Amino acid sequence: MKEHIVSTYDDDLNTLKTKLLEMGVLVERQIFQAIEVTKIINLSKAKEIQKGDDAIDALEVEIREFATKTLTKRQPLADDLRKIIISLKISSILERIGDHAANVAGRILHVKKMPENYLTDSIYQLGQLVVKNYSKALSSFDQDSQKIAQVVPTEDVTINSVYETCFREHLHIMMEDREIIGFSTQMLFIAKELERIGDLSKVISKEVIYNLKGKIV
Amino acid sequence: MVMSNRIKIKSKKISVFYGDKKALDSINLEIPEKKVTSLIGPSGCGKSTFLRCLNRMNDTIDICRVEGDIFIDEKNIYEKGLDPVLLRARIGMVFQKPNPFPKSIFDNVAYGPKIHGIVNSEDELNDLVKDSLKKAGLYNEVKDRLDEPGTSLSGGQQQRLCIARAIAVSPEVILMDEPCSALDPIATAVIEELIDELAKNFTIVIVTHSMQQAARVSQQTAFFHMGNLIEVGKTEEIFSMPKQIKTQDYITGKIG
Repeated sequence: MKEHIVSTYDDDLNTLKTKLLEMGVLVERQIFQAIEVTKIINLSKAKEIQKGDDAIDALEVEIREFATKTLTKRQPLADDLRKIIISLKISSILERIGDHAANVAGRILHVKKMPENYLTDSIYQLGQLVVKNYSKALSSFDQDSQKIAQVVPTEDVTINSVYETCFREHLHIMMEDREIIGFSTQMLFIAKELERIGDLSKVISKEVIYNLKGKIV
Repeated sequence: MVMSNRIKIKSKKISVFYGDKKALDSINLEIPEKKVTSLIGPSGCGKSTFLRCLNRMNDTIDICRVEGDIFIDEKNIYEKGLDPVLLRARIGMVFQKPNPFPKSIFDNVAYGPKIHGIVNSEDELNDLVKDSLKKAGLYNEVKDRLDEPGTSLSGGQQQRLCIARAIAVSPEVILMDEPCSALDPIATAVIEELIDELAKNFTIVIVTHSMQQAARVSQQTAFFHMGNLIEVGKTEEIFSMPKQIKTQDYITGKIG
């Protein structure tokens, strides 16, 4: 890896990446915990997740300010410019993913407890796929790996298909048992939040490819 | 590179030697008409030498030898018998440091048209000076003091006076060698805006050390390194996704 003549320029770009990864890991933990509370409902944990979103929002502001300062100081071009542009975009995407994770927790606070006759764990399974694909997107950014980034959109196709299956399954559940319509509706909202996280992970992977190839895919 | 418009200047295998030292090595470059082409590269890379080939300014340096051909509108400017003075009337030049003649503002602009016999009457000359100053974006600032010395103007105004002087002889091409490096950001912005305007009527080739300036004013950029033309392409592509690693290292300031 070639270094800049001005070494503090490298420091700035490294700091930006570190901050973004820190934010990415926080978001990953939020998604993971949100998915967990859909399986075993835990209200205090759900409240914690909601509160945890503040730290993510604060990091987004911090990254934005740091990126703006770096743009002003360095007037970057080519790959350096792309690194900063994608930092701004990815931090904004992470903030939105954080919101989706907090929304999942919010739905759990709304339903309070799981009805005994709600027997499926398909939404938890969907969540597992979503968090796994998000982690891949984050790794592709961490490792500047086009190879990993290219897998993410393919996996998202599977996620979308599993989401459709969840949707149909819950329609059946609701038709068969009117008592759990309220709960299942909330679970469908959760499924939609997870599906959106899947889409946004795909956007991250596209930004990683843009950074590496200089072309918007 | 693909640009839809006509090629105004074509350099074919241009090499320049200062004594035994090769300053430029077989440069092939096409410059599109009525567009701005930036020449960038580190000091000593040959970009100014190349610029000076375009109006045969290098002829004035004894130890300098030029090989190869430059065609302007398909006519070889290195052809035997071609008068470099007449050539330079077709190809104006603006230098790094504003260099007005020690004459009045009016005479600075009127000098070229007079010696080249471009005008037939005093009225015609007055109109031409006024028109050139207007095109250079200077007229409103100097209209009431045309008889004052050109050197009494500010640096930015002097540079615009030099541009007015260059365009007064109706050149087809304007060469600019770091025209803003001695100017403050405001004067620079005025010149850059002027370059945009001038490109509607003239083919412009500019040497600049500012990547941002090249990105702002030009449509084509050529990167020179150690006497070689490393890469030429659309400016937006050179500064966003250069094809050559040497170009990328230079524009991003990398070593190693």
